[in-house]
Amino acid sequence: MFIVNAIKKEFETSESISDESLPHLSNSQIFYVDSLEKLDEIRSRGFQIDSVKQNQIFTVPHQPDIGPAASVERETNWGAENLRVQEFWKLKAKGQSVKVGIADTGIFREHECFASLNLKEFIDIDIKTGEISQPSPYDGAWHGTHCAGVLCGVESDGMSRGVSPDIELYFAKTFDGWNGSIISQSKALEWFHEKQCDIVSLSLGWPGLHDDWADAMFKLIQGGAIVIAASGNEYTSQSQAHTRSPGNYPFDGLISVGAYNKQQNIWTESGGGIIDWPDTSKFSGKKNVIIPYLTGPGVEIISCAPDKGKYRNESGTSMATPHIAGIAANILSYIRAKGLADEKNLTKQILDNSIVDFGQSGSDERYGKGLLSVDKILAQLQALPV
Amino acid sequence: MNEEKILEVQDLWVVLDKNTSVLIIKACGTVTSSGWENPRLVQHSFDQLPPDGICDFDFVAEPPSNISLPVVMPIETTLKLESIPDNLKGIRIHAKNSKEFLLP
Repeated sequence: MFIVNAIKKEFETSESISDESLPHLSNSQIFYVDSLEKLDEIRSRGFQIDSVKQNQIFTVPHQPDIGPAASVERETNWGAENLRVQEFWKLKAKGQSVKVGIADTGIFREHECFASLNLKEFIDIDIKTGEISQPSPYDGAWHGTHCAGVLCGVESDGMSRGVSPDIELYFAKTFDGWNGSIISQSKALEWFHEKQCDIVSLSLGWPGLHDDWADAMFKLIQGGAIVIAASGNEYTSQSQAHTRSPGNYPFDGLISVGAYNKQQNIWTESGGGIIDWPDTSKFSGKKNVIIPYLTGPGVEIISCAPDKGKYRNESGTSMATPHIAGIAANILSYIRAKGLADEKNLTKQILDNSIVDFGQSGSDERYGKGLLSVDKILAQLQALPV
Repeated sequence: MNEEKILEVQDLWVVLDKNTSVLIIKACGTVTSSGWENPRLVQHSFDQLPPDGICDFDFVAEPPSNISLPVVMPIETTLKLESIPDNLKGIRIHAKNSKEFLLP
């Protein structure tokens, strides 16, 4: 399979370009073809070929053992408590009527934390062909179940689990076990756009600078979605890859997330860097991009395992990402219930205005802009017009 | 080949067969994401065993150069050593964040 980015010729000099710094993304369309002979067919439809990339399937030779689920059912998710989710819920800000997309390994729907989950759709994207099927929800590993638990798991045994339990969830299974591909992630981003997801949570990534999903991500964000993506766990890597794509894409509507621990110290491995996108990339000219944008709870996070009554204790920017996505969903649900205009921009503004600087003064490659202040978020919500 | 030390060593088992002088080391630890390949123990080079009799190894693996999931994952490897220095007293395994020490 090949992923073809093509530009509609008639738009080449259009004044309707919505992001003048990224014109080739503004007017592009993605095609998936199984043979390069089909490029002529795309050209004949009035498109100019911008780039052609072969799908890559990434296999994991070392299949991590699922291992025993931790005996941590009597422990709370400190991340949800750190973000004081109960105070959002008292305001009836629980993510209701907000569409949230996740791309991950799948979800174990039968877990008690998902008993009242509003799972609107679950799709399985073939990592070789990009074909979409709609089986009953399942998790081919455990990662997706854990992340979904952080995002929207309900309380169990009186313990806090997730952040935003009333969201409408759109789940794209984009991994086959632990193996992923370019095409499966690209198709997921397109699907989230088609479903008009308000927020998308991506606890995944490709270490380094890879613009393969630039077009699909651009469309998703232009369509109004707020994308929350992991910054990666490569800060101390010996390679140059200290951040991950797509978390390191330079879009205003994309929030990359680093991870802090229970003491609110940045996790040693939490990805970050100051990025200059190369001139050969689709982000040519985008320099000094600071990753992460902000940080969230991501170390020793207790959440659901793919077995009834079981939980796992896991660490990574994978875990920080759904915490922030859940807070964004809570904010948006509150604004939406008030019937205010420009609700997603307002959500982003409230998030932005609520970040408290940590680490070096100003934005830096460890904490980004800093940590979310729940007090500041709640004060802004309560100050909104009725 | 781009190798890096793993994040942390968590467990270590050492079995010494005195009849054959074969030493088997099994090390378990964590890496920072899914997708790490070819875990192995790399012995520190030395002309003679250090005076303390401790043999040092780095626990290394190849990090992913592709799409993977940024969550801490388990990893393990086993090494069979067929020539053991006479005065060997112990094994030390180095990772990014820790080193583990065990007497055989």
